[in-house]
Amino acid sequence: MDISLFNYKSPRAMKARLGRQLSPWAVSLEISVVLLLVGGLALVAFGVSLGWAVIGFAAIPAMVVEWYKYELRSAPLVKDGKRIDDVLDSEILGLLPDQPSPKDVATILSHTNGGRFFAVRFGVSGGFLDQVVSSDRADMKIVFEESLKIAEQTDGRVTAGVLMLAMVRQIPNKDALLGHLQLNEEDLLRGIKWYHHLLDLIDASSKKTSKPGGVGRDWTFGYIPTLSKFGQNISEQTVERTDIRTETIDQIMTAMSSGRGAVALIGATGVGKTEMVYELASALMSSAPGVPEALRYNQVFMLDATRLISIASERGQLEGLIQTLLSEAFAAKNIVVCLDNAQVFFEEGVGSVDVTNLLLPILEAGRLPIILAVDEQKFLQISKRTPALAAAVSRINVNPTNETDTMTILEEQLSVIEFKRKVTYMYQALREAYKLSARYVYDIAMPGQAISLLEAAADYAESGLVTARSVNLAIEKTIGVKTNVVDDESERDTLLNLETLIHERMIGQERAVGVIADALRRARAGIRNQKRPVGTFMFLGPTGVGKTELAKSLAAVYFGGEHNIIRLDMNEFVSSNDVARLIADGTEDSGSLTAQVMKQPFSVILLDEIEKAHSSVLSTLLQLLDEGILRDERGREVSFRDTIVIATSNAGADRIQEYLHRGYDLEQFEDKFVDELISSNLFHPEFLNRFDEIVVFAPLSKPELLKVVDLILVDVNKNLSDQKITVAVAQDAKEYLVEAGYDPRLGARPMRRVVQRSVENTVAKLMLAKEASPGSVIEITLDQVKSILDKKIQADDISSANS
Amino acid sequence: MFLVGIISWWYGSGWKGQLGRVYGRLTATAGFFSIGQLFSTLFSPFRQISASGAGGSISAQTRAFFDKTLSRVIGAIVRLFTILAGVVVLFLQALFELIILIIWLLLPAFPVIGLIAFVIGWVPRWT
Repeated sequence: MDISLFNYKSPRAMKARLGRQLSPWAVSLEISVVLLLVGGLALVAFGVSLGWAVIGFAAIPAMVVEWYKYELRSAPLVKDGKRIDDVLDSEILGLLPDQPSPKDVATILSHTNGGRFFAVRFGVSGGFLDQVVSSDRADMKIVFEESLKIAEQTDGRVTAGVLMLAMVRQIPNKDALLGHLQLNEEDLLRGIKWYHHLLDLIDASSKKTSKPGGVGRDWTFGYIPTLSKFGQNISEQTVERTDIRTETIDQIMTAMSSGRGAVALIGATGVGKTEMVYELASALMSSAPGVPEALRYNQVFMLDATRLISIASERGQLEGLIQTLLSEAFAAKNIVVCLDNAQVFFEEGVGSVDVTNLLLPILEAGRLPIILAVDEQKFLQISKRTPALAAAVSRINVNPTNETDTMTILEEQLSVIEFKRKVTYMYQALREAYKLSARYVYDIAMPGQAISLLEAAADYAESGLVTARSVNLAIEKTIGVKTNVVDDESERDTLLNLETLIHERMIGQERAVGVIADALRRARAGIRNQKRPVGTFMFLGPTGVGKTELAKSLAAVYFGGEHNIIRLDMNEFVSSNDVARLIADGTEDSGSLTAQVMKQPFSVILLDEIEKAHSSVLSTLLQLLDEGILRDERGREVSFRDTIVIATSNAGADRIQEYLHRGYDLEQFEDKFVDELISSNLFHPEFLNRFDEIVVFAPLSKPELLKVVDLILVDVNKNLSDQKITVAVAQDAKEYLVEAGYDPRLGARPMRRVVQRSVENTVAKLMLAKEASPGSVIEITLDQVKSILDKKIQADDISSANS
Repeated sequence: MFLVGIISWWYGSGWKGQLGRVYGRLTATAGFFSIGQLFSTLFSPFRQISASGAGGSISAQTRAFFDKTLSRVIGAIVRLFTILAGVVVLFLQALFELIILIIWLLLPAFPVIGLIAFVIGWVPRWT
């Protein structure tokens, strides 16, 4: 018989159905057993022999109850069963009709625990599948076949998730469908394993011994009154052990049982050092075969260093307390002491007391099992200062977890966080928390990084449900970075009209504006390379053509204001020593590039006059341009993957002018010019190659300069708006302003000064002469402009002649 | 079908399951009293109550020796009583579990037995 065909009349299927039918009657049956027994006994006691029959008949509901409890309620899987009804979850089996269609199964799944799990955690509900799967009964065969294949990859059970994945695989546009839910097949497979793990945990918890080792376990060991007062016995707390980093737990046990009692757990903050100690405590209390006999049933006492210091702040007091605690632990003979935040015992400072002289001999003797949980940087400092300490302990590194392990830890921790925050997390939120925290959360390692973000996301839960969007919001609100693919109407408009919006602030340079706008649109549509900055551009051209203005305009239009520009004048980075300033720690130099990007990861980075920077500085920037990361002096990876990097340079400005004088258009000489620049060795080819685009800015043409004058006049009118006065400049006057304001060496840079001086001075005079009143429009003529600018030119001539 | 199903389960996997549960309960009780461990540590000092270790004057060492011996004697007494209590509890529990198993085996016959007893009409007389 075909193993993938569902046999409605198989014994297991029948039992599952019977179990489902009996389920509402189970309690009534139990009550009836009690009533029949009591009633029967009472009748017998009163001399009525019918009581015997009543007692005898109590056996019938009693047997049914037992059968229900131990077999029908969750019809056990058939050992080594190959047929679908041998391995199908009994809850589903009990609900399946004869010859079901995929649609029937989808409907049934929404009434099962497994189905509800997938609906809440993944957003894949039976109701959702109901809309997209076939209603042809013949299609069920392939779903069951697929389910059996998936079950082989997991643990042999066919639960709701397995059926869901099998059904999803039959949908023609499954990728689009799952993509809509921000999922893929791997995620569903992971969900199946997660759900099965939860079932196993429930099963294991029902078999757990309340006091491993028995009543006499601790009689051989000493009393520990002081330790009980100041320490925390973490062996008494239940920890759900993951199968992650078990080799580290084994390493700790081996190190402690090998005679050298002191172990230093070294790792960055958030890496899970304390959690490892909890898992060790749990392992020691278990009857698992891997636990060394010398350590079995040893209890782990956590001593929080900061708490001890706050209790006994005087050195003598603290030394006395530690001495008492450790002596007690040693005398008890079954205690493992863990000093959390141990670094504060080995350094002098605020909140720390150096008791190295007391602890070092104890650690060196190695007779008391001690675990020191220390931050890795601090351990390096302590080891440098006291090499004997490093020699006295077995060093065990606790490394940050990878993505798979972090996800498992998040799944494990979820119940605790959910209980604490009264929310429910979707799987997509977990994955997003991993991805975003790895990128934006600093000073803490995985899995702590992801857990902290996940907890923060609880504040952005919608109807108690924490979704990927909640995690995005948590990041966006706390560090101001846009993480999600654009879905906001106004942002969509901004992106589509970016060129127009930028051109409201600056004139010309269409190509430069175009490449920047394209890069941003690619980024926000989610189709860019996520492992590089949003865009990296080199702007070349003479002064005053709009290179810096474009960066500022971009920041103002899209990055939330001109303040979201991180500007570095590279002429301040002219020696190799300046590399240190680029990557300095934020606590020492808040203006360093890395510190500014850590605070503001979503920004425009303007590296002005890049040609003036030292070659070491440029080499340091290579990794930034290439991979979008830069390590700061503390070794932290700072992400530049949400920045637009714009480097500007005047290099070759003369050559550009020369080309233009010779009558070339920008398009005709741009490539040749860039080649010349590479050959000139001003920049290394590998540096220039790192940029997405090298854009040459040509000097502005006269019509463009006229538009610049118009832009400046808009600003002038804005300044005058308080006085309710509007200024209009005659066309010939504008042309005169262009002539006066344009400098071949400085480009359009003097233009603003010239326009402001001529227009504002004229307006000021008119206002003082009461020739301009609120609401009036002042027409400025060529003569008025000339009279002011010519006077200035004469004055400049006189002053230059005198000097 | 129902009757066949329940009877075949009762004397098949149901019986095995019942044996397993009885074994589990007895093991849990044995584990609680940890008789094996109590035997292996019978003469260990009770809760490490003893004067500080070796060294010091002869009188101190003598005191330590007597302290330790006293602690061992106390330990042995406490453990022996616990072992005894454990054995008694285990024995009683084993008896109880045996009755449970016998009832399990006879339970399907209870309605018939009850009917027969009803037909016979015997009931206990209190006077």
